[in-house]
Amino acid sequence: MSDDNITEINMDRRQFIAAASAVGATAFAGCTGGDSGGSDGTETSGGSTDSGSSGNSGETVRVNVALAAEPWNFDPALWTDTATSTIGGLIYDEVIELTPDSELQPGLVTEVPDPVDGGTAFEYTLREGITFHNGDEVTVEDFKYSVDWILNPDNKSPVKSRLPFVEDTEIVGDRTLRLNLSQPFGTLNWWLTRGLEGIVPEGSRGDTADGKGPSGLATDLTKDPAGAGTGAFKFVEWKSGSHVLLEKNEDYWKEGAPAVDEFKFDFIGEDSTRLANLRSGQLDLTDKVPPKDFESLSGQPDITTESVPGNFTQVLYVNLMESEGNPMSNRHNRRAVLFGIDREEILDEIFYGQGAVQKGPWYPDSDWTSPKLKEMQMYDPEKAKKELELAGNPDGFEMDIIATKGSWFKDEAVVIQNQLSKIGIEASVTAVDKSTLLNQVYSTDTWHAAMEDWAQSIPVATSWLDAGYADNNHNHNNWHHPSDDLEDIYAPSGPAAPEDAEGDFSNGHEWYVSKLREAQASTDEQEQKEIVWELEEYLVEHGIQIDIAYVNKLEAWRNAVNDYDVGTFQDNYRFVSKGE
Amino acid sequence: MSAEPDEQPVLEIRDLVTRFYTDEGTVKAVDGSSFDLYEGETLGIVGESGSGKSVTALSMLQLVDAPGRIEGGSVRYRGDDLLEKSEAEMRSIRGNDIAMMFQDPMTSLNPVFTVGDQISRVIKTHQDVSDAAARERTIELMADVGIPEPTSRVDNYPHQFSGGMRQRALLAMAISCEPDVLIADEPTTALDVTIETQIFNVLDKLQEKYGMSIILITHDLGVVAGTCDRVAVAYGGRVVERAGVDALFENPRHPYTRGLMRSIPRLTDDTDRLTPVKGDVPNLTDLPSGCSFHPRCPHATAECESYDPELREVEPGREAACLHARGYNLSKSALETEGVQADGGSPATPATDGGESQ
Amino acid sequence: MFRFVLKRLLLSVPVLLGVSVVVFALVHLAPGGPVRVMLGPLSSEELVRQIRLEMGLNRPLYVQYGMWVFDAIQGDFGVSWTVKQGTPVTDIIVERIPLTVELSILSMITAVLIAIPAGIISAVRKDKPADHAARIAALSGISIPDFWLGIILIMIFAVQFSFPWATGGWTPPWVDPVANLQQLFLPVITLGTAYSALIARMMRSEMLDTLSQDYVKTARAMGIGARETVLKDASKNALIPVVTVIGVGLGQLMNGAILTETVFNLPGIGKLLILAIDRRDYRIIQALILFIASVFVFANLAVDVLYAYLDPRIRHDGN
Repeated sequence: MSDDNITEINMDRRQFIAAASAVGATAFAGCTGGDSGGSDGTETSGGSTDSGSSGNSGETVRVNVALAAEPWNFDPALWTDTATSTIGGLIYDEVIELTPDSELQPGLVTEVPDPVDGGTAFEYTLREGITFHNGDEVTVEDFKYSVDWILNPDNKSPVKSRLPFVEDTEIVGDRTLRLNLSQPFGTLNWWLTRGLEGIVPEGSRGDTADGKGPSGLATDLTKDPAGAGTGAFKFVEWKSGSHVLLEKNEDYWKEGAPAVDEFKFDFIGEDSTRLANLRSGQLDLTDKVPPKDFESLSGQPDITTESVPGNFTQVLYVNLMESEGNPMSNRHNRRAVLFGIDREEILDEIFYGQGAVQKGPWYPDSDWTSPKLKEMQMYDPEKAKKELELAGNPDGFEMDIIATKGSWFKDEAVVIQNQLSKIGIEASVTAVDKSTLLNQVYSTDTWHAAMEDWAQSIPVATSWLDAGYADNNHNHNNWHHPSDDLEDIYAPSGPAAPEDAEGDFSNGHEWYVSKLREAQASTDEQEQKEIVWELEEYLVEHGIQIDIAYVNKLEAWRNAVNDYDVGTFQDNYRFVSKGE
Repeated sequence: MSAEPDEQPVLEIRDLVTRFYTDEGTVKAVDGSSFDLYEGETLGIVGESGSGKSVTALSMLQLVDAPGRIEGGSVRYRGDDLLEKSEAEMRSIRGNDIAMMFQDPMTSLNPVFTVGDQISRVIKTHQDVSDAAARERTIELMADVGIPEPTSRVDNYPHQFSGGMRQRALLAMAISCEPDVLIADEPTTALDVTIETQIFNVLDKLQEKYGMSIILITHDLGVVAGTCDRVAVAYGGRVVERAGVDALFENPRHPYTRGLMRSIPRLTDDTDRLTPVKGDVPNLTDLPSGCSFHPRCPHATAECESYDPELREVEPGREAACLHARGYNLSKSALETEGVQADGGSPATPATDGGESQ
Repeated sequence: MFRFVLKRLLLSVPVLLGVSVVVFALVHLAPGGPVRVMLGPLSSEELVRQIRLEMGLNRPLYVQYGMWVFDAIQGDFGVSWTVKQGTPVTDIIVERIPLTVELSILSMITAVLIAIPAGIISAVRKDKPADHAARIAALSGISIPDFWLGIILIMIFAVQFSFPWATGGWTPPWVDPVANLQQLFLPVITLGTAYSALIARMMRSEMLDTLSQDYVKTARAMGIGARETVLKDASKNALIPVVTVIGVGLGQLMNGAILTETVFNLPGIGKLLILAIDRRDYRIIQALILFIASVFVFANLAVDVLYAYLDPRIRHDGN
């Protein structure tokens, strides 16, 4: 498949629009047959295109992006992974957007609202003049439909958990929708950046798939969102196993986008294949550059690379529950492991230094990380050995580490195994596939530690502290407190609540959850910070989870690609253009 | 058919030497073999397995493949030395002027082609005829060799033929171009006795019809007695005795031949045991010095160990290759010239006749 | 012959049934399941449970299996939960079959075109330099892992020489034969190499065997030239077992395609299988394995029929 039909054009926007009307038709022609290339340079019809455009105006500009994984579906109420979100972000617009600099920005609404009614409600006003790809105007009824559908438990939307405490919606103005909360929740807008990733036309989801398929996991939009988005690009086709093709939406409401005619996302799982294609020019852009290839890619003159702090961390989950042979239920053993791991070494060995060592769950440089933790030396073999004595096994102990196959988890686990053996901890490493590991960790108590990574798309410290810790029935570390809905397979676990805790808590977890909710409800930033610090310190002090490092996001693209904005939590493709 | 020794033989083989160069050593498969084939006669070449009979036949047609090589001698067909001909020339002779049939009818036909196709192919290789004509001729030939219902059986595959039928088919292939000479290598060894008779009857008939000279290679003296005009006895890679069939059977001159004759059980015999020739067939990579039969020969003397007797006339119309054969008449002085010690004839290794089982 | 085929077809039913039972058991008994993979590890237990209920994953295995068989017989293999969610499984598979089929057939043809002459030459020139070279090549071909070869080829051709091969994806040959060939050129070499080595070795040994047969001697003795006996008499016999290997191998090729498809990013059923297993999409796995098993069964059957057609001895025996 040659790039011959795709030209580097350098035009300004006005010229582009003039050419676009003629090119639009040929872009359609180029789309049939998938890979057979863009338009073949048909003559522009009519003379309206002759506006002094440089270059050949009869050809389609297409950006070829490679993704490592295939998306699951194209309904914003049903997707949960980043690959889909990347493509989805071009087809749909978020209600509230997250910029690559991790700031909030209004998307389909006029402004980012502050909470009203003592923090128990938010009101969102739609912009004027936005249309769906099918031509209809976006109305507040569409807005309400989109949110209600997610909130409806019968639909089993996995995205519902990203709208915490939202109870219902009501239309309070001809373009305003109000979201009512069951309790104050100051950070809702941050959650919405990942919770409401699109508004769809009323009724467009259809009846949930009846009979054979589970409802909530397939709607009319899942495989064919044509017409339902508002975004910079329209859905053209999805060839499973191969690619997704999008074409530009000429009526897009934002200035400056779209700047190219087509976007094609190829699913290429093999790292080496992706990179080879990038080097040879078949591909324009790829994310997930393996650390070991980053150097050499950076050296190539026609390729631009970028490394930004990433939004995923390498983490060792530990099983807090008491069970036969499980050394991790002992707090001192956990702390021994925590201080026995040399995080720098792991970063250097496996990630070629691309990342930052963690001091507790949040970014080490942020002021949402406790100052106390910032000072702490995380790698301290002496301290680790002392912990072993306190635990009652001064000569060490044995433990099993499971790691997900593929990617670098097994290698990390082996490095850890090596490091821990120096203080007397004998770890055995087993690689299993992801599904098996998830099953072990979340549904059994027969594991000790698991090497995995954790990605969070909402750039709020409290959301990190929530996901993976708070849910009593389902968290990373088998950390439970007694409650009515605690399932039979789980038992209360973990250390006691801190001595100075206000209130009566059966154990640390109960206290933790309560404090966390306090922070989330608060609308005072300083207050929130202090609670967050307290929680972080507790987590580290008791070794609830062993955080290792944030790994950088490594992306690479050909020089001809411009205005690609890479951020820690969000990449912006909307304004990407292509030209020298 | 009686032999006419004064005529020019159809085939004259002189001192044929063929060796196989293997990792285990050089096999002297044919070690100076000589014999003639006269017009219209049936010559039997008789010997045990390992005597080089088959290789002799293959050598005649230059069908010896690596690691074997024809090292010397001549094979004159009507005066022309076949060993000097090119492969292309040989191709037009094989199957056309001189035809050869192999031993095992079960494996000598290609299982994936019809019998008719295989016969027709030989015809078309040597004659410029149409497919239809070849097919017609094939059917004729099949009838000639006695295959019943040839018109329908021409399209049968070999596995649909019995052993005897297959041999007839091979015969048909061999005579399809009316060859001068037919070499039949153990044609009935794989068949039972009743079929054997039939085959020889057919052979006889065909010989008369087409005027062929036949070389019949066999280890079965009975067959020789019944079908051959003249006989050549092979041992250790060469011919050690030649005679008319009656003369040979009445009065074998070479000790080996005598041993063979004695080993045939006769209906009139009263013994319980067979009397095979003592000892084993020589290893062709390591032939004994002097006369290659001497280790097994009851009449061997000291000279036999060092002198290798060539085939000489012992009587008009017969030859033998043994120092002690009656009529061999090699004088002591001739022996001395050869550098052989002649000390009067006491047997070097007196051996007992009979009674020793193999 | 007809009865033979019919009998084999009938026999294939219990075979396929057996395969489906084993696969069903294995895949459901393996830890993990599609729901967690689908929803991400942190979705609520409640949600997971509800969805599992809907999918019927809580019912006893034999019930689930029974329902699957009941539907499958009617041609309904359900809807995918994890690949293009909601799409009927048959659609997903059918979409990808043509690529794998084309890849397999082209690889086979390439392999055969190289291997058969190589095997013949090797046998005829036994122990000469040509033979040694061919045997070394064959051994290497079998020993080299295809994914390694694939990656090396990519590095050489795509990176060093900027050979214009596609990023993957598949253009059907009837749409654009040139693009199609570009896409499949390297994968066919990769997949064909090991295969061709196997066939060449087999051909060589079969040829050595047939060339020493009496019927070849007979043909030579009848004045047929050496070349003709090699090409006609010996080859036809030697090809029979080789054809068997080729036929059965076609079924195997479809599986070998998994690695090749992954490396070259071709959307065939090999890659689909990996994806389905990773995402624990039981429906796809069941249907796909059933399909592959059927291909095997029918490939074997076709080969047996072909065998009978080529070898007259078998043909008449069967009747």
